[in-house]
Amino acid sequence: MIACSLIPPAGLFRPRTARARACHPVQTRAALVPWLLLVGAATAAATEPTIPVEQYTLPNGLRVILSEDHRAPHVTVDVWYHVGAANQGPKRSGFAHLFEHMMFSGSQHVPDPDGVLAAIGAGLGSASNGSTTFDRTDYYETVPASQLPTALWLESDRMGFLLPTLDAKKLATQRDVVSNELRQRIENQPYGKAFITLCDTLYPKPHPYYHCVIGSIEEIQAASVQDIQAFFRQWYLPSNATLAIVGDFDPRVAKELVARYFGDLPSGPRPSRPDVPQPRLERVVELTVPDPVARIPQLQMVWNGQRLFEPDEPAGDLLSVILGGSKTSRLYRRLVLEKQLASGVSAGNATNGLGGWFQIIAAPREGHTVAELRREVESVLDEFRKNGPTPAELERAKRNVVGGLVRTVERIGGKADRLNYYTMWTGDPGYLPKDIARYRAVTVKQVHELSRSLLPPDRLLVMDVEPARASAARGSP
Amino acid sequence: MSRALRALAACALAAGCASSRPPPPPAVAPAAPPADAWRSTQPPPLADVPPFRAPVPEQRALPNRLAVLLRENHAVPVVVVELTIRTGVDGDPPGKAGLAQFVADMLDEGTRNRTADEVAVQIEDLAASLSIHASLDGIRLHLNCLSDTLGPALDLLADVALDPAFRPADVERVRGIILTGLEQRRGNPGALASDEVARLLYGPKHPWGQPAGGTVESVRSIRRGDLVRFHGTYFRPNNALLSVSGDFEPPTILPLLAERFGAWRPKPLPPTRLPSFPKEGARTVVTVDQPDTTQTQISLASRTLSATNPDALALSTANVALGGLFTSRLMHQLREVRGWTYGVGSSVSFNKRTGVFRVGGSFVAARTVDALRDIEAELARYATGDLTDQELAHAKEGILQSLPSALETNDVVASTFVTLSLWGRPLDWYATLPGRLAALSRDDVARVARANLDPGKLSVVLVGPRKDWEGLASLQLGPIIDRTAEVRGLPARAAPATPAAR
Repeated sequence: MIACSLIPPAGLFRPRTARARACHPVQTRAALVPWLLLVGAATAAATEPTIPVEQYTLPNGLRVILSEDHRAPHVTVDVWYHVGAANQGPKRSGFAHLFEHMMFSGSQHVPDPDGVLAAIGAGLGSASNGSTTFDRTDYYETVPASQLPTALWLESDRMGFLLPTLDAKKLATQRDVVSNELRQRIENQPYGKAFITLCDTLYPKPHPYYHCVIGSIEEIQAASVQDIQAFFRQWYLPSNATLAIVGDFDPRVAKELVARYFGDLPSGPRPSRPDVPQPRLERVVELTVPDPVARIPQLQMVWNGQRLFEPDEPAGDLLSVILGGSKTSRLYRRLVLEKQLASGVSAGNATNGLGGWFQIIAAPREGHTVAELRREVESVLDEFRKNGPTPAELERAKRNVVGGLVRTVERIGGKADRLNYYTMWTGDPGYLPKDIARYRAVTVKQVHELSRSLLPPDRLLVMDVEPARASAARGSP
Repeated sequence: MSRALRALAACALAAGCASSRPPPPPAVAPAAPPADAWRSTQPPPLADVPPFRAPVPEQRALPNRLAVLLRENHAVPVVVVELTIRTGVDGDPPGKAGLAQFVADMLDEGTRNRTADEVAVQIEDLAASLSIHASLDGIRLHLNCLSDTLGPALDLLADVALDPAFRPADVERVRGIILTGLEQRRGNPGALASDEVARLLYGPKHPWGQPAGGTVESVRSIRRGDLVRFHGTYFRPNNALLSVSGDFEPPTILPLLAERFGAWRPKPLPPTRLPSFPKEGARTVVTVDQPDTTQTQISLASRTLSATNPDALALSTANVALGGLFTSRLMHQLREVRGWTYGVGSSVSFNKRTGVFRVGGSFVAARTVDALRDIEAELARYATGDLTDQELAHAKEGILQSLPSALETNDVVASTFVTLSLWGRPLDWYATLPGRLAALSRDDVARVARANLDPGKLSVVLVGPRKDWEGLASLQLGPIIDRTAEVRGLPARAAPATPAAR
């Protein structure tokens, strides 16, 4: 329960872009709806999975989503605040995430939330955590079904009573912890620097996505208690949050508890979501990124991408799967299987609230170069832009994407996350079957056309990650 | 705190019994701040929640001695089948480190009936997933498929497991991918630390003491014949296990499995001749210099009790109490008080021959020596067995309450049965855990901690920028051994000098 996780660096994407070869239909005993025939969307008289939900809004604006699942005696409480890196001001990179850490530092009536969680059996592993992305911040715990009251008590207290006990000392500690998180997850991970370079090139200052959520140590260290207080008052309002409860509970009891713990928290009007235009690359930007930790060079080709839930997003996801999502993809077959230039290749379509990116990553095998890889990727793309996907390829990609979508709700924690996600972006927590329908509706023609508009050959970022061997082999003092 | 909660458990909120708490405030946002003193009291737990029942498999076998573990679960139309070979890295001969992993990587890269691409296409067309990996203990082929395509999915599983072709062209293609991965590991501080820990725990001559996946040299030396021999020797029904969890029909599952695996011929295994693990001796400090990193990866480790030792559960519990929870003093001191790390903790883990006690984390480089000094001070407590009732209660509660989530999916359940079997633990281990945990007294746990969590036995591995380790020798933890040259090696290929931007 390290109090935070970030979007993983380069090459990994939120699970909503399905990865290869998954088939995990939703589980259900009591509640869920069931059978999903992933095989053959063509045979799709299939019942789509749905998640039964009950939702309502408290007078203070907090949206509440309940979904029963009685397979095991545990329950997940997951609070999403609609605030992330997108809401940061200039010179405040990393701030939303630093704030997330403060939410674990204790509140007025729950001075030691970690101690409370440990006492109720949620002190181990992934039972409890928080995470910050470009657009939102979440806090969750999976606890024994009997401990739902304590989970709600804890979440309501940090929603309403964080500031009275927040002080400079707590903040100083977390500034250092977060600085170490940055060192661990970015500076000392192969290709971590390339991820930061990607954000900074596609989203130059003063765009709030600058520096990829985690931020820079200088700006993290500059945060003051007043900054934290102002951020809390501006964004951490019940009206800017959604609360999902999923698992083994009695809805009557849950509603009573929610009213008791959250009903009287003061709020304000729901703040509007930031809307900053997505900067556009106007040419081919070529960068060499020296990397002291990486030992193998890497090619990264990155295009301006899509916003979440824009009409062509499903086609963009499917395009990424067909190009580089699995061992049957175009790029894998050409670069890894046939020509054996690369040890691995992947493609991904990352979509966020204010924009996204489409990314192809390839690593050369011994004896081959990034330049060779780039020529071969371009050749595959040229061919694809010309002829588009085959119907069989598209069908297989849909199956994988739908399988991935369904897989996200196999566990109660994943289901709570998905309910909050759909609520934030569509207003409809039960959007899953509609989401699947979005993917099922994509045509060969759409993917073909998108490959031309989304992946222009003359407007992209090309990174050549160079292992900094010279200095790595320098030896010791 | 935990005990107090249990005492309150009889009073159910839902049952509306008398509560000492004031009545809840009205569910409307008031203009004035509420009188919220009532919030200072943690609410009691709800009553009438049934206990979690961990799954226990039914044990069967095919006539060729292939062991089968079955757990029916009709909640979802999915079946997970994990076929496990009970030999993994321990089957690597001297000089051939990485062989088991190479075999695992080859299985779905072409069979006598299918090319690599055909295997990939057919798995994806079934909307199935198949992952294969080698560990110290075994090689696991993990299949997840829809229940209505179980037959064709099992065809594929049996084909890749029993009939891999090891075509020379495929071997060379995969070898290139493996070598690239090995080179990549040489830059990764976490991977380097794990390799050095393994070398200390299992010895430089033991297959488990080799770098994970082998070395560039050993993988280059592996011939097609080595792969074929490993497969022919160890991939035998008498050395395998099929663990099945999910939506299958009991009358048909054994015939389905027998159809694919029934003709698999048993063969006696060669005797295992492994070097013994190194004797416990004085502590050493192994260092690997990575000049351009900003943190030091600190690891301390020793072998400890095996999974089947009667004290193993007490040992795991002691570890959770002392260093496994976020609230542990180790985490508190080094993260929350000092701010030198994003996370630090201790763990007790097992394999089929021994257990491993390990402590570690990544620390801001300039504080390496200070952090190590603090860790040593915190670890001194481990050896005293001095843990509070509250720490023990939290550890037990954490272990117990993590089970429903830990065993939530068919994927995990099928794999968990395999793990229990490989370690030699009873298959009802998790079903009986609540009772065994409850029976553990503080004295039991303290005794086991004192006997087995001695920091004086822990060797130390540091990976990071050595220039920031001034004063390391003054800690007097043991002789300092620099392994930088051996571990990091020379660049495998020439790195062109490049400017920062073109």
